Amino acid sequence: MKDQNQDRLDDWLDKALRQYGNVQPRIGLEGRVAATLEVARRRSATRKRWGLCVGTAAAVCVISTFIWKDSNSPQPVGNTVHNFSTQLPKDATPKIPGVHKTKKSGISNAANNTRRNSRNPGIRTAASPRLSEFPAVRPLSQQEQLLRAYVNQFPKQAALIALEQAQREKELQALYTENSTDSEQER
Amino acid sequence: MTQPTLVSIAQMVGTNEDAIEAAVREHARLVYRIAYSVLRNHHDAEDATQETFVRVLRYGRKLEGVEDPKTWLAKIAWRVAVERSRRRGFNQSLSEAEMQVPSMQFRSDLASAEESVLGNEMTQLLTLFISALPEPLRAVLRLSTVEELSTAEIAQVLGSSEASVRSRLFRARVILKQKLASLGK
Repeated sequence: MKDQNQDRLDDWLDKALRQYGNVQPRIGLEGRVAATLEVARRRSATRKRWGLCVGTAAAVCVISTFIWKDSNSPQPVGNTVHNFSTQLPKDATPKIPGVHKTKKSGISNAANNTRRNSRNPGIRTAASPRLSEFPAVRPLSQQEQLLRAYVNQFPKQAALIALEQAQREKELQALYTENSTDSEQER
Repeated sequence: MTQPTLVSIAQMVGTNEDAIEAAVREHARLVYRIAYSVLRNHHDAEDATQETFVRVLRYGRKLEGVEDPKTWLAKIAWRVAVERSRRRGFNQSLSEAEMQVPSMQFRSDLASAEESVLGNEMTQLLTLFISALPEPLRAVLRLSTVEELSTAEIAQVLGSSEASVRSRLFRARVILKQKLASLGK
């Protein structure tokens, strides 16, 4: 009797569970899902396209900025870029008075300097800066050397060029002041 | 030797999109039933079904390397449904939607109207009892009501062994039978 009841209960439960799980979606589920997928696909394609556009624009901006900066930066006259610090001759290092004299002269700071120098022998410091020669004397650059050579060789032409340049600058300044007054009057 | 499915054929022959379309045609109902088993609501189940396939589309490249698309889809559907149910607080208690099971959502195999009414009452009662089960037992029982899934597939979906699925199912049935028997007394 108990077994029979158990069997009946089992049957009833099986039937109930079947009923519980026997769910049918509304007609056309596959179509609706396919439509949603199509929309999602289009959306992702559009997003990709936008991403590509934005990326390209950003790249173009970066490259153009780089080019613009490169073209606007001051360039040396010659073809080669000279590193003056490396080009300096060994004996042409700026001679700051007082630097080498520290040991010889009997200045009160000399002892202090020698103590520092003994700690770091590669560095020699001046006892005090000489403001009369500030900024420190440095050798002429290549351009300056060329200019000096030209002036030495052709002093008359150099004087004429200098005069011409001065006049040109005056003219430009006059032109600039005229323009600025005109624009102010227009306002 | 298993029979080649639409998805596996599409995987071999067509593009990834073809494989997804084949998966929709072949497994949309399974995905829907899994979602419904958790959410017990038609609209939510359909939304979950759509979300499942959108996820499949998003991770579409993985579909090429999937050996068993059915179980893979079932796993995703289960995860989506559980996430949705957590988000909406389905686990707190029996929701209103669960209580008001619309009779139109069920395919009625029962012959007479009387049987149909009895069937609906039975389902509501069972829904109550199942929702009161502990979570591990409830998950197994819910997936077992989805016709298309075998015990091995349920084990794969839940990430547990077949033996544990069987024992949980047995325990769940015992609890349900006890409750039903107590009703009869």
